[in-house]
Amino acid sequence: MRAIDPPQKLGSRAMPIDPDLKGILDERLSVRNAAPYQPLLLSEMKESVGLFLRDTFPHQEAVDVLRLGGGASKEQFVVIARDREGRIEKYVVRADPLETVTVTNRRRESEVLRLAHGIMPVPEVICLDCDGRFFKQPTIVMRFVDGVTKPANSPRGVTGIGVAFGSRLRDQLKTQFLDHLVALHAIDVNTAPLKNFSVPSANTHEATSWQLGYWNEIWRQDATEEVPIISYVGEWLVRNRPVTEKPVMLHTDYRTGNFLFDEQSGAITAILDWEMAHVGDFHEEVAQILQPTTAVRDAGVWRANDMFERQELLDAYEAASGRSIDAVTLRYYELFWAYKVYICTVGTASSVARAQHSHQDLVLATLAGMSPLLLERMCNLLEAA
Amino acid sequence: MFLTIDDRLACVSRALEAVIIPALPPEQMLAIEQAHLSVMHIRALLGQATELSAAVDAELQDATSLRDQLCEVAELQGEKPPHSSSSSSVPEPYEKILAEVDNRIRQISANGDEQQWLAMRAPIIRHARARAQAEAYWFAEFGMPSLDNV
Repeated sequence: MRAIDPPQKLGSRAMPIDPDLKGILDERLSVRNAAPYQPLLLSEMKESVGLFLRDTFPHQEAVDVLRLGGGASKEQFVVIARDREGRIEKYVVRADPLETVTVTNRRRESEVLRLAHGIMPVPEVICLDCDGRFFKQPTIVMRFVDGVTKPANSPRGVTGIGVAFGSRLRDQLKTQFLDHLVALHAIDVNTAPLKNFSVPSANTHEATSWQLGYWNEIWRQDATEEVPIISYVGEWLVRNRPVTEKPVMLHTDYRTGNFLFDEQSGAITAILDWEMAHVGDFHEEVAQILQPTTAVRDAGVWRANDMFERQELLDAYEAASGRSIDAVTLRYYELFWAYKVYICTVGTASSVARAQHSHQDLVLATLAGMSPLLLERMCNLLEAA
Repeated sequence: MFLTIDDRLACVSRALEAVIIPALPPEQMLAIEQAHLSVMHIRALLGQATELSAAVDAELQDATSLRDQLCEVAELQGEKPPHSSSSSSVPEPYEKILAEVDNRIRQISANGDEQQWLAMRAPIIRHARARAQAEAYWFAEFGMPSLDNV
């Protein structure tokens, strides 16, 4: 079902923004001219961890605090603590640098993790500190989960790209990967306890419009020059917005590199990086899984996240979820994916790296290397539309 | 006689790979990652310093060409676009040309003329593909997925 607005009256700059994200977008402008960010010192983190443990787990003390690698957005540390009986507990601390490649906040991340907990494997949130009670920056503390994001023999590279599982792990992972996704989409967002998420109205353009408004505003804030195809695709996406029948909770970064698994058993132990979660159209999520950056070719066959061939994923999702995938809407969101990831990796990443506002400026500078692929992707999808 | 920019970059890269990275404790994951990324960026920069000027000229030419083509699209409906300054001998700032292109795209989208809307797609796609090819060379060392499966 499509409700048609007169498209010429609603250019891309006129799109409304998700009400819960508008404030975040306004806030980030206030730090735009701040001095370069100094990454957290290990000594500072140890002090904060000490305060946190004394308050939350007074029978534990920190044995070690180590800085984790990976990720383009949060400063991450693992805390090894020991209680009076000598039992070891481990936690992961995720702290915001001054700016990150994703424009969101820890309250939303914490809330969706608590929502998903018990429904699918996710890290348990122990503490959300946005008020500086223990930590210098907005921080989430989660219980550590064992697992890896890629097989041991994988090449070094930016998160998720080029990771091949091979046939054994593929067969072990793919059903779980899909089942967890379907479980997430099955959550009733109208009755779930969501204080930090607005729910777009069903059977309207709202879900799509809010996302367009959000990404267009990010581009407006971060771009140092216009990019013609971005201007054009932005207008195209407004003109062709689908109606969302029933908005669902979306992860929207559901891919290789964002889940942990046990390499021996193939069990998915945790789904990570929920910061871009929002309520929207399930087609957006399916399109995200099909995107090319984490696709792998094995014996001449391309598989999304080295798990599913295209039609295989669509058939499996429909069978597992009971939903019907609309081909036109799916193609819309595939173009939308390329558009928003371009804005993120070329616009925001470059802007934050230039300002030296993160601890990972070099990773952010690397993300711009996705530009050729994204430009080509947008061209191909436009021609096929 | 003096080392070139490429020579100096190669020295930095070698120092990182041969001396600094091996000395980093294995638990210092972020430092090791950053060091490897540094090597990658340095390798990507090798040879590019001398090619930058030609690349910038090509970008400017592509953008100017696109602006002119979109002016032609606007003329399809008898609209007389502002005099194009592409024939001027004074080079225009790249950002200004792109801003004009952006305005033209939004104008055409807003005016409701489907013929113009459809007509501007091909030159925009051509421009984007030319940029993609040029950038693919620029980012060749970054380890990003190829353009094969897009």
